[in-house]
Amino acid sequence: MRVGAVVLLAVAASCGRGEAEGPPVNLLLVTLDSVRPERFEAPERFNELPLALAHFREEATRFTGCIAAAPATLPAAASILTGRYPVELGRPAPGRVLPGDVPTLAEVLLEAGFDTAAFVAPCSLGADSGIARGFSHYDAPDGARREDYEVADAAREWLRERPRGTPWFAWVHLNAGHGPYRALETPFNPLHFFYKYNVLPAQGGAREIPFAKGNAGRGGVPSYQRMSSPAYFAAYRSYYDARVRVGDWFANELRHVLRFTGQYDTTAIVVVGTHGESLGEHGVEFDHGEDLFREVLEVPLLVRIPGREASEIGDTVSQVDLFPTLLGALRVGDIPPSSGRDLFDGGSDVALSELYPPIGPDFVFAATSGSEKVIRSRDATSRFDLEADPREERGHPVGEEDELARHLREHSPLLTPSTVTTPISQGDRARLRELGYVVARFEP
Amino acid sequence: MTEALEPEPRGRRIDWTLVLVLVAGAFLLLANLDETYLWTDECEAAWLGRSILDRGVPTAFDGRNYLTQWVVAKREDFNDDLVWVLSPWLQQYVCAASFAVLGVSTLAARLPFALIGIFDLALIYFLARRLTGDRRIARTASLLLLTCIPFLLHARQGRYYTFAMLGTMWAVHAYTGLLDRKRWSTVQLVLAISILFHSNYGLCVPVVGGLVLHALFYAWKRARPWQVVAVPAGIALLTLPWALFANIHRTASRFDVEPYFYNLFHYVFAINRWALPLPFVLLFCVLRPLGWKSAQLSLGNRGVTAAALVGVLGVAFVSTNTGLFTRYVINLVPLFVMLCAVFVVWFADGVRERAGAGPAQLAWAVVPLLMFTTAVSWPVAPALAAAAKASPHRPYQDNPAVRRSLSEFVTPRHEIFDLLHEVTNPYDGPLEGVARFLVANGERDQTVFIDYGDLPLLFYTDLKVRGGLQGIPYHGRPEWIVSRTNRVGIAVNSLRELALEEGYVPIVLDGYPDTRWENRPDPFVHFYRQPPVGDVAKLTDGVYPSIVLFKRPDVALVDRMGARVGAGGKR
Repeated sequence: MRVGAVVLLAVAASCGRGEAEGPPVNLLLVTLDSVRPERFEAPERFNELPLALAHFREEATRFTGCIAAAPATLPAAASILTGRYPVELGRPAPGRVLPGDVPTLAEVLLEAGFDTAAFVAPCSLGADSGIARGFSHYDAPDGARREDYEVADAAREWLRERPRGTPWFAWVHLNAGHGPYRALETPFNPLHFFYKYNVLPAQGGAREIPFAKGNAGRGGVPSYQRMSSPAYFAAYRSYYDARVRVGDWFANELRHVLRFTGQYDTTAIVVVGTHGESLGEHGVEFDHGEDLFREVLEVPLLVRIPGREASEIGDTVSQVDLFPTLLGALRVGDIPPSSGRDLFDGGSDVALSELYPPIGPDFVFAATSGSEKVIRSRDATSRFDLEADPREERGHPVGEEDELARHLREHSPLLTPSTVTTPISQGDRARLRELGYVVARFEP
Repeated sequence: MTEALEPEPRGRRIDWTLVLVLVAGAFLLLANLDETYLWTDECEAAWLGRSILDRGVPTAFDGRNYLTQWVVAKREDFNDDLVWVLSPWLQQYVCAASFAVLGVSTLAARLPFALIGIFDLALIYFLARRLTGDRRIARTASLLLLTCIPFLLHARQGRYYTFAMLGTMWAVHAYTGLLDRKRWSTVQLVLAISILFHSNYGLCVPVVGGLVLHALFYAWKRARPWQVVAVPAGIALLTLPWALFANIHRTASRFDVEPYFYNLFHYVFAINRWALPLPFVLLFCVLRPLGWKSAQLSLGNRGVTAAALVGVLGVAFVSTNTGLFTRYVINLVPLFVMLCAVFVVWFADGVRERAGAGPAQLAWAVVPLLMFTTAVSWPVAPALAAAAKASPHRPYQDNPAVRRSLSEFVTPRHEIFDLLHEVTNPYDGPLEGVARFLVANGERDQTVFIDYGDLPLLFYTDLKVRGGLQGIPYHGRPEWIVSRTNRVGIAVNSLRELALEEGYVPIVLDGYPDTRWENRPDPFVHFYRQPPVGDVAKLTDGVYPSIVLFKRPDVALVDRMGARVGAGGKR
């Protein structure tokens, strides 16, 4: 009987996680669109189903103070991939191209001998934005967007086919919480079950929200989000949660592929939100890109570097910090200059965020540091105490002498010309409109 | 250890009754064993068994497909290393070993378990002899188990059931050996409990509890100190590593108090009908004060008392489980059958004592009566059925098929004749039709979405399978859709209508009745004969529509297999 026990123990031990001795060989970067940290991790959400990434959460370093560089997908993703704020990148937007002299993560890694590939869900991350630079394989949708299962399918096959001995970098961008939610109403989704049995009964006590006239979510559900059913808040939030669940599942499935193919212990994995989503706060219903409040700026960030102990870090950090952090962890040589700082050395003390046409209605900038936050628009600069005023409802005007405001002013000149522009076809306009972009803002 | 009613003949002789039982049992358990496709639960063991051949441990992900019932379970059925932890691995490794020898097939998935079933038929004989010292009881027990419907149905399945029966019988056998200070009985008890644990650890609890209780009350003084330490230590050594690895405190089933009596009466109903007719017990209670006593049926017989305690405690314990499945009491069935044999012999001896040898011979006619009818159990069956139906239950337990079945089973007719038909005739189940069609027409890159029955498609086809109870988000346009008529669990509402709205082409597989389950062993819902297929508009009880699958319009068919394509999809 001792032999049996020894066999069992040996099996158990063989199934345990190994720790990589050297630096990670590969990098998997998963970006989740429109995901708020508290909806992402809320234990009560969605029929009490556990987070698929729960194990990852336990073994990764969890940064609870990560701030998005912009409340929109393209500029936020560009900041993650370059370590630069949008203002330094010519304010990425449809029709603008990333400046060629700013190296991207993919370019650096390609240069270092990595296989590089990207799999993105929405057309707003199209290759013509310049964000595809450095990726030897760039898998973008033909239409407005692909569903997450399609993106994950493509990424999964690519990951499974990686030859041993060649390092790789894969970037996978999943729609996750981004609308339009109606995509979940397609027939073949078991999540309907939850909608029927868990959401509909709750509708009675939920507030009804109006439909907005256009693609902006201020004052009502934007057109691109509109579902056929009445706009009950609980129903919309449940669909939002369901979509977050989808992103969560597929991000975890990619981890499973790495486990299955034996690459897990040599791969650095990052799961980060590009930006959040307003669920009615500050008058914005199920949309983002209208303001710079915390509901659209705070994002989940989980970083797992093999060999590094799991921990939780509550300091303010920025998405731009990922660039130097990951290049440092991969030890691929000199790290190009960036605006970020290594996350494990404290990251950026002050995280900057930007909102500018054609993303938002006007130029707005924000600086966040711990529980302090300053938002600067054309007309005013306001300071918020996030501890005393977590909903950011009581901004106090501040003068030029305010340190955070000064920091913000130095880093965010209100008007910076775009470096390169590219024409947007009628088809691209239509596809962007489906994703909620306000087309009129694309006009040069 | 016990007083036998008849002295045992000296020397080893072949007991031809046992030989007959084993031969007949081999036929009943092996004939037509691969005729029906593996059904959902069997596919779990088989699919994981196949994964062992590739990866050494049962792995719930093959790079494309998951084996999971994640939505329903709401808990982790595999760990972060993708290793299956929802159930112990014995059955999966048995499957893997069989696949390694015989190749991956339906037969190979079931054969080792059926062979253990034949061994169980022998084991009950030796257990009864050990516990009673009476060869007549041993013979009767093995004969009764031979035609015991739950035993036969479960032993023909590619799952842990026969191992659970083996573990339970062996545990009681070894325990009595321990009391009699037989050599190696300590080791045997440890091994038996460990086998039971690695079959289904939930079934292990009442068996261990029953034996411990028995020891405390009846046999404490006979225990040797080193055995008191060695048995739990040995069991812990063989079970704790896996239990800790699998985090069974997180994955174990939950207790549910509300449907307790509903479950209890169901189990008692089944035991009364197929293992130990309660009228025997009632008769004993009436006649014992009148002098119809028996050494076997007294507290003095420690073995029988232990078996009875394990049986009663087992039923009481599993009734607390949220699920209601005959398999949860299947390991106790041989014990109840053996107790039934004790009652039979008590009854025959009582008649002989009071009325002479002639009437006693007549009393023995109760054995064929028990083997081939359920007449003895019949008088109390309606009351048990009524009690079950009147008991509180959970909404999901309000399954019309199961609830109706209780009434249907209040008859003296024995299903052994149906089973004889089953093991000698072909049977085409719904997922067999679908799997065969998809093997002929599907391609590896394609996806099939099914509202219930994903596991058989995982095992038998090479496609990407979504739906069922997986809970994996999927909102694409799969190449194939299977919409079950009698779907259960996480069904997509109006899937059939939506498929038609989306322009999918219906394919009717005539001859494959869309029954809810495929060869499910629970006798309440098992099909012995392929049910008739009828027009969907005129279905009556017991008639089922042909199963329908849908293909995306752009998908080409390679082999129509006689299916009706493009018609009959509407319900």
